[in-house]
Amino acid sequence: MRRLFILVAMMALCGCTTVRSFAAPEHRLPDRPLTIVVMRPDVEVSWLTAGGVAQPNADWTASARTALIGALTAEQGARGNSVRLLGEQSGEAARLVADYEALHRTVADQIAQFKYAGMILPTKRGKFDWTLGPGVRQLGEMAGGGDYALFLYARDSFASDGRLALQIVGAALGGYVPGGERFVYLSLIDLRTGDIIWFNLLASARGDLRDPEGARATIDTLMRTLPARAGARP
Amino acid sequence: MMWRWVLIAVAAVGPSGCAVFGYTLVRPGAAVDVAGSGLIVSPDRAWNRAGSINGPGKDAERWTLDGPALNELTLYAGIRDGRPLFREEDRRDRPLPRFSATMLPVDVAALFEASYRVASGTSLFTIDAIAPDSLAGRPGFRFDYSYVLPGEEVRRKGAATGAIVGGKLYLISFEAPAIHYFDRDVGAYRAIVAAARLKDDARDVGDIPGPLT
Repeated sequence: MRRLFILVAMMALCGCTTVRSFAAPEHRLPDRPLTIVVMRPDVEVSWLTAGGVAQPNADWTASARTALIGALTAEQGARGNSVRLLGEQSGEAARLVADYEALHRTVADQIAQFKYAGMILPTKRGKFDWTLGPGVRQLGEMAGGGDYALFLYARDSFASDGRLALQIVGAALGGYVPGGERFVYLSLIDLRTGDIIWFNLLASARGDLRDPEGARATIDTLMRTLPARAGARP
Repeated sequence: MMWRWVLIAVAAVGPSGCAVFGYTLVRPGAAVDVAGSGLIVSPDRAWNRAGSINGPGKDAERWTLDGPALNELTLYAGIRDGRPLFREEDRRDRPLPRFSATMLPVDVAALFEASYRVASGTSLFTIDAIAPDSLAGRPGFRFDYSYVLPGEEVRRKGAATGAIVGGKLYLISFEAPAIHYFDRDVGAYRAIVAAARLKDDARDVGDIPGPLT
């Protein structure tokens, strides 16, 4: 995950909002209403101390998680798809979910490194073929069936008064002190194969994920490049 | 402002595919002389080889298919007596253990485990099995291992095959997440091990047969 945070810092410094997606070129979504299994969103909202340390805030995090799930459900509903949230599991099922969440974070980290951060794997040139493996079917079964699984990762931060003061001083001295930033990625997994068929990442120095309107704007921006159901290329 | 230049530098270096930083293509069927050591391997599929800066050190090479966190093949090519397995990041505070030419297979496995524990800071590393085997036609050994890195919850499985030839350690290891990736890709590692050979000039009368103890 550390590479992802370096990446978001770099992307946010380059402009206000950066969005870039990748899709498996050969994959076509079925031309029928889809069922999307939404995995437990990995969300954290923090405030930045004057020294730049992110202090997670539980209330802000809960608000952002609720707002993002609401925005996702509404966006997919507008496409004619239905959303199933994968509920809390227990025992072996909980362990399996945690294992796949961890594997997905690792795969996303490699996607960030080799598709966003400038480093290239020669065998991946012009391809997008990362996977979690066909074992993800079990996640669909846990949710009562589904066509795709959607993983959501979001980090949002807001500058404290001390941080704002430091930003002003920094600007007066001709330097740059980063303030609050948001970083969100979504990835869509084919529940038959485990292949990641679409991945989109947004880094921005603007917005507020705690606010339903801010969450909606973020989700709508990210979903804009989701492959169309009728088989159109993204 | 400095970050802008860091970004530009990273972006410029990455796509160039230079051999120092980044990855270069290893073509299937190519005969690769690992780190110029005389250990020759021929992969059955295309791999990505890490450059000298992001690689493991001058006596080894690191290859991957999907990214080093998802499948990593490390080829240790002639580690000499008194040398660590890979590059030391912090020699003063976290010195790596050294290879000794008199090591037995169990000692090499222990060296491997200790090196990982020091380099990654993991306390969750186990050697699961050790058995006699051969590498490049020389008597040797193999061992299986598993570990979890600090700050991650991904359990990884690994397999390594090695031999001590002429007082130098030749070892090929492969590791990947236990879910999906290890089982899918371990065959590529086994194919590389099966076809590995040493150039004639790497032969030495001081070979250590590597009895299992």
